[in-house]
Amino acid sequence: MESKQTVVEVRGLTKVFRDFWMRPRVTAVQDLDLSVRKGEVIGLLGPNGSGKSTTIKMILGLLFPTKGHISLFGKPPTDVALKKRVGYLPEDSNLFRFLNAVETLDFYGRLFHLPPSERKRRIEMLLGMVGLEGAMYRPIGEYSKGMQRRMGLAQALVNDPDLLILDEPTTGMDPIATRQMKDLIRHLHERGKTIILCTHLLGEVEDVCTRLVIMFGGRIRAQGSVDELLSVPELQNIEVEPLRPETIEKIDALIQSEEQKKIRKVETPRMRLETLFLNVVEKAEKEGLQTSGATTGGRLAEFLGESAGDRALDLDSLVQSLPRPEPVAPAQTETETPALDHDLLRTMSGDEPVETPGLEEGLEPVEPVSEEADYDLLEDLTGAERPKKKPSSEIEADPETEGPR
Amino acid sequence: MKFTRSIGARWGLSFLAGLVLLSLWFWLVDGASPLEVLRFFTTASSDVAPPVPFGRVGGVLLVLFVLAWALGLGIVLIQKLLGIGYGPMPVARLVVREATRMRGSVVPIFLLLLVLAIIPATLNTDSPLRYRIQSYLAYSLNVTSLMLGALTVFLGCFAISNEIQEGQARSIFSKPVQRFQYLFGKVLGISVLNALLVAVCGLGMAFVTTTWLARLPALDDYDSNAVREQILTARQVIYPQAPFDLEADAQERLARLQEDNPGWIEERGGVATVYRELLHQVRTEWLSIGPHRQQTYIFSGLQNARDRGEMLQMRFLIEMMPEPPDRILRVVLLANGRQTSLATTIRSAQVVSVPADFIDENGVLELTVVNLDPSDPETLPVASISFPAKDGLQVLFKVDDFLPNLFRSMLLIWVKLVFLAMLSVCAGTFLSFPVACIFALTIWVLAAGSSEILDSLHFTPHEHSHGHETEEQATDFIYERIVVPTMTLMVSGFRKYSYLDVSSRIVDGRNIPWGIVRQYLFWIGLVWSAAIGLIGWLIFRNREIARVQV
Repeated sequence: MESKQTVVEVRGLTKVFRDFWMRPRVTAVQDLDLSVRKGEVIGLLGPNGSGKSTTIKMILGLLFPTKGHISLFGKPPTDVALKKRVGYLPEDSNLFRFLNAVETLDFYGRLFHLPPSERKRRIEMLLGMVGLEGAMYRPIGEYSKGMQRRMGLAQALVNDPDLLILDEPTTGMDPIATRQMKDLIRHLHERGKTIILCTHLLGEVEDVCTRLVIMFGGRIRAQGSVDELLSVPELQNIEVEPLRPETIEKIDALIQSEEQKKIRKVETPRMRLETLFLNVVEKAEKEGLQTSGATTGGRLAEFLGESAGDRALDLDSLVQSLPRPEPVAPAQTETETPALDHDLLRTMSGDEPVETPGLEEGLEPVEPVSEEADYDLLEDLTGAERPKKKPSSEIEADPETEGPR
Repeated sequence: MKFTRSIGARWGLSFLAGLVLLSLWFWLVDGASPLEVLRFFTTASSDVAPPVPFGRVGGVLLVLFVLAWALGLGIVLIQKLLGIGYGPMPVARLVVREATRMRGSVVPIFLLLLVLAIIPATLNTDSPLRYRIQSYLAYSLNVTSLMLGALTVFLGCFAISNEIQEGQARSIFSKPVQRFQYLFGKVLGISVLNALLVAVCGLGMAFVTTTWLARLPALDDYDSNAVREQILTARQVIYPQAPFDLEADAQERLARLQEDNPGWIEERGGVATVYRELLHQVRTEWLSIGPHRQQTYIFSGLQNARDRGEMLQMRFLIEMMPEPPDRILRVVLLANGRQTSLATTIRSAQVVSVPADFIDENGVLELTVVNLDPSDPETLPVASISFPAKDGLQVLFKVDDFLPNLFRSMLLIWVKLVFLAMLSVCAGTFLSFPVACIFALTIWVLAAGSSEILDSLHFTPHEHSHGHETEEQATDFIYERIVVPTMTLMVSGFRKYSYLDVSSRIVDGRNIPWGIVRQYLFWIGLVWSAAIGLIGWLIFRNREIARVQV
């Protein structure tokens, strides 16, 4: 999906906020260089105050850079005409409380000069997509925060943008909407849209982003693909049907004799809470229970893509898609199959290489970890400890690198 | 289409429901059958119309119903109107929606309508009808100007500063919207809403005045005629022309003073101040008549009045020092040689009707005032009489009807509100909401009171008390050299804003000519507003929209 065409080009970007007397107060962004190519889904990560929102706002022309150069589709961000190709979901939705959903989308649609019939069509589709059909005539001031985020998303998509900038998109959203948001991003990515996702919730980005940019103190501290940044090459997971304890002992013995290593941890994976939650909601909806809030949403709005009409965002497909595992280091299991106990290994992995459903979702296989990954920074961001080469008996498996749950 | 039908049906039903409820009230409380009420409203001429079939409360309810229904219908219509087109139009419609749904603006609008409906019920029924109608018009026009002005400042300052503060501006400016479109859209929205509110208030005033108050019984024939000929009309005012050049006379006196006593001029505050005082003195002398003396005043440009053939009104406001013991002033008037006498209470305006044929074929009326008592010509009057320079002596004649004049007055109010909207919106582009409000309110007060402020600045007495000369001189120096020039500079630019007192014109039944309306439209509605808008746009285009927590 990615192309060489650059959508956003930032060079030497610096933003200094000044006080009333024009004295420099805070340097929010410093000498930032960033290129976003067409079709990329970029996750802009960083703790609060790291400069990611400031960067976004400068890209949108809402803030003026102190120094540096920004080009959006090859033009300066102050060029109003190019905003027709941009969709923006601000961090606080910032909707008009006195308007209802239809009036809100109609207002934004008119700012894009959409003709009335097209506006009407898109409003219906978008409200269906974000699950607000049942609340379309209620003032937005009465919406919950999650409903307002859905509404904010709808307004960001009303012009079918080529570049979608999402600032903390899942704040206040329930797990269903969060999952839908991720799926939407995937679908839009498949359609070749460029997306910049600005967040400090790390779980959001690893599922959907093709590239991560991690900021701290107004500078980029690490960037690369998700796999480059998150893989832990020191560890491997092997996923099998449940084994008897004596079999596990045999495997451990085998590993010790062949590799001089030990099994660190054997556990039964748990269903993800997200899966459980979606199952409960699906059941309730099938029983016909009513809700005054948002529903689970519907199909992807057709106008967002010529062939996207068949992309359902309904709950069934969501639930079906959930048990799929996070991408894991795949083919090495095959290549590193020990020669001694083929039967045992065949029991563990089958004849075929380990299935990696993440690939079906368009995620790329894990590459060897990049040296760009800044683990010190990741520790700051996540609070997680950096994987260290400890004595084998002390080390536990990183749950994030485990297989299907 | 379905939506339109539902709106139409909603308003149609509400109208019918209101009519039914009002009819029930008139029938059950005021004892007027629906037929009587219908006959009252369908009788156009007040001469044959039946008496008002409802009481005070019924009248208030009726006016409230008319105003509320007209406002509701107007809001729907202007939203439809602003629903056409792109660019600033969606922003304008957003402003209208915000203003008609936000408590902060809905409550003042409702209060305004309520006040307009209640005022006629609070008028003293013992007073002459002409005074009641004048009071109603004065109150309602002033309340309308004041409340709509305050509402405009509130909405204008809120429109942009709040959207920047709350973040909606970020969403808007991430869309293809030019900043001038946004700015213009805000002003357009407020101005269209103001047009509706001014129209509804004007409708209310017209309805109350002509359908309710004017059909109440008058005290006597004079009262009835005064209502018809002096209030519910539009009269042109002609002021007397001096037979010599007042300004040249003042210049001559100034020159003499400069020669004889230049130090005194400096003490009085400079040449300009002394010249203004001299001009005032010359004019006052011309408008004063000593005991047993006479003065002739020439009114020209009355050809139109002569052609119309309707009665002229001579309006006098006479001052007399010292006042006669019975406070009754007696003078002789000669209009183009035809004598009439006048006995009037001093210090209150009196009107004498004069037939149009008193005017000569050139459209000139020469009015000679003789300061003696016609009933006792030999007795020497005890004092001089004088006519105040501003409005002491006028000839008035009808040139138009009340309703078109009221329409023009509402148009003038609206033009001022357009300027105020632009000023407030532009203040909101670079100031926070409360600061923008204070800024816009200050300018508004200066503009609205500019005539009075300038007059008071230039005619402040320069009395020196003895004993504290140094302190007095220091105070005078600060006042004359700093306060007066600064205030004059600040205020004189706005003089045009308050040049015409709309309220007093309507109350006195004086015509507001289209020429003045056009001038106001051009200067205040267009030139001033465009200048302020340009400044606002230059500031706004360089303003960062987003606020970032760092």
